[in-house]
Amino acid sequence: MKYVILIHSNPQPWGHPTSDYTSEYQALPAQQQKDLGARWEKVFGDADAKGEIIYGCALGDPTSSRVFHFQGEPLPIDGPYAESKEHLAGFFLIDVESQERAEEIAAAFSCPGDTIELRPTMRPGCES
Amino acid sequence: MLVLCCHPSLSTASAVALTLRAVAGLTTREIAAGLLVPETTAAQRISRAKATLRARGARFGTVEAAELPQRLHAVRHVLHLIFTTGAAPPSGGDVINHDLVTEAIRLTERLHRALPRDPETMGLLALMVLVEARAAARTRDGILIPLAEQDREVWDQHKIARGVSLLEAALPHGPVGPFQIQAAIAAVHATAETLQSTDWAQIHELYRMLLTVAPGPAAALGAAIALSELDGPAAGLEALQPLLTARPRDHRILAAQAHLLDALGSPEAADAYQRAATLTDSIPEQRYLNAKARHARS
Repeated sequence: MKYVILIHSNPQPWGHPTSDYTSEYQALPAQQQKDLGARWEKVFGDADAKGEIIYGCALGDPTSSRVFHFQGEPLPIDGPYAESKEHLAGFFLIDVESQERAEEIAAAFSCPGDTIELRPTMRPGCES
Repeated sequence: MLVLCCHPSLSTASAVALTLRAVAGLTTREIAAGLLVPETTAAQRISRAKATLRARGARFGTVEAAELPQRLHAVRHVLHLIFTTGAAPPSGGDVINHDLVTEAIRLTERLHRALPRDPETMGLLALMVLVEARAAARTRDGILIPLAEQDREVWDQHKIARGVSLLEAALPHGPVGPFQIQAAIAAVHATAETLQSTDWAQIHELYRMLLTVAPGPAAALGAAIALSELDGPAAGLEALQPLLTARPRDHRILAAQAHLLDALGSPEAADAYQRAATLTDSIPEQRYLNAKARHARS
C-alpha cells in the first residue's frame, strides 16, 4: 500500500528541514529537539533499510510558484497558491504493508510548527 | 534457492523482490513495473535483501528438516503475494506490465514438482489456476465486473479442470490448510453453471473451516456473504455487523454492506456505496462503487 506523507509548514525564511526555520520548533529546549531528531532518524532509517521509502522531495518557496487559473485559457499569476498560513513544504512516497505502519512512519515526522498529512494513493488496478 | 529467498530475516516486500530477481530471473525493470515502484526502489530492495542474507550467514542447503515446514509456509506466502499483486493489473495499456500472475504460477509449478506430495503447495497451485481461469471475465476496458455479471462462457474450462484435479489430489493427504480451503471455495464457484446454482451451503461451510485454521476479516466477510446467499440479505447484514464494528474503514466490508442494503431496497444503500467508494484505493473499484451509489440514489 502506497501513501504520501505531506509536510505542511511555514518556515521563516523558507528552508529545509522546515524545523530549522519554524519558531515553534526553535523554541523547544535543546534536549527535546535532539530527542525528536533522533526519533525521526531511527524511524526513517529503519523504513529506508526495509525499502519502504520510495521517494522524497523538498519543495521550493511557495512564493516562487506560478499558479495557472483557467479563464477561457490558462492564465498564470505568481504564487503562492494557498491563502493559508501553512504551505506544502515537501513530501515522501512510501510503500508499506498496512495503514498502521504508514501511521507509525508519518508520526515520526510530526513536530511543533509542522503539520503532517498522511494520504493513501490510488491504484490503477483492482482486486481479484 | 526459493526457500533461501523467503528467509525469515527478510521483510515480505524484500522477499518478493528477491524471489522475482533470483529465482524467476526477471530484470529489475520488470520487477519495478510489476510491483508499481520505481526501478531504483526495486534495485534497493534486492541489494538490501542480499546484504541481509549475507549478514545473517544464510546459505543454500542449511535448512534443518524441522525448520522446513515453517520455511515452506513463508515461500507459499510470498508466491501467493506475487500472484495477488499480479492479479491487480494496471488499466493503462501503455504501462510495461510483466505478467506476475504467470511468474507466480510458474514458480509454484516448480515448487510443486520439487514437492509433489505437499498438499498445501498443491492447494496453492490449484487456487492460482482456478482464479486465473476466471481472469478474462473479471474486467472489461478497465471496468470491474462483479461475479454476478461475469460471462461464464469466457471462463477457461481447461484451467478449471486442472485446478479441480490438483485439489482432489491434495485433499486426501490432510491436514487441510488455508490454501486448499481457498482453492476449494474457488472450485465451487468455478464449477457452478450460474450464480443461482452455486452451492452456497458448501461455500459457507468452507469459509467457516477457513475461519478456524486461518482467522481473518477476509474469511469472515466470505462467510457473511455466503450466508446472505443462503438465508437472505438481512441475515448477511446481521453477520456483517461485528465486522463493521471491528473494521469501520474496511472498504470491502462496506461494499458488501452496500450491496446487501441495496438488495433489501434500503434507502441507506447509496450512502454505504459512497462510503466504500471513498475508502477504496483502487481506481476501477472506485468508479464501480461511485456508479452504484449514483444508481442507488436515482
